Amino acid sequence: MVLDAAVLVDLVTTPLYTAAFAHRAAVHGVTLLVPAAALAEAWQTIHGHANTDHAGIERLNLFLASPLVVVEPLDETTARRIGELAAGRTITPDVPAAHVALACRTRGWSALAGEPARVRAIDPTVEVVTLPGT
Amino acid sequence: MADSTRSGRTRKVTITLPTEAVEALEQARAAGTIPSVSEYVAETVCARLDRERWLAEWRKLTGEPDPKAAAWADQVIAKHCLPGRMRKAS
Repeated sequence: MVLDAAVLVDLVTTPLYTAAFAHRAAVHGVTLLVPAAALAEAWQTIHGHANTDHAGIERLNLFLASPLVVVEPLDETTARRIGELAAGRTITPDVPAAHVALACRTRGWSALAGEPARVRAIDPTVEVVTLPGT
Repeated sequence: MADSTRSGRTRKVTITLPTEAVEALEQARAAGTIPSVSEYVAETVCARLDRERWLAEWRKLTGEPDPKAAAWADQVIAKHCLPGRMRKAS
């Protein structure tokens, strides 16, 4: 499953569902893919929060250290494919959401998203599960 | 998390596996899909141990998951993470 930036932020701020999801995914041996662009957006949001607590950051760091979590890099080839995927959409450029959509398309996986509309705006065919409470 | 698969030290042990699994492993070795049965089993066991270690740390940090949230997560995983989709991304 591919995660968007809002899911990662939720893991820091209000982790009821995301912490449970991380736990159950590990129990089931499910790989969770974090696109680097989404992770960058998450860190921007987290550091922009005045009241981000240390425990939340520690939670995200441990999550990223899971042997089942894969951070997909944003290399030259991926950057080109993201641009091609988003081209033609009448939206403000949204690289993090496009990276999520591309990762889903490439693998045939679903996304878990706190902001599902952003992923669907890039690719309406991607299956997106909405994080409860977002 | 530390990678426990490559300490370099090994010890010979006898384990019991289902016949079908042994046959599948021997076929995979013969076909060159896996380097050896021992190596495959060792990597699989070490990966599982890494997962269990991580889960122990996660439990220590976050506690047991909320039952309602865990039920939701199980439902999502069952629907969207079918066995064919549970592969480790490259």
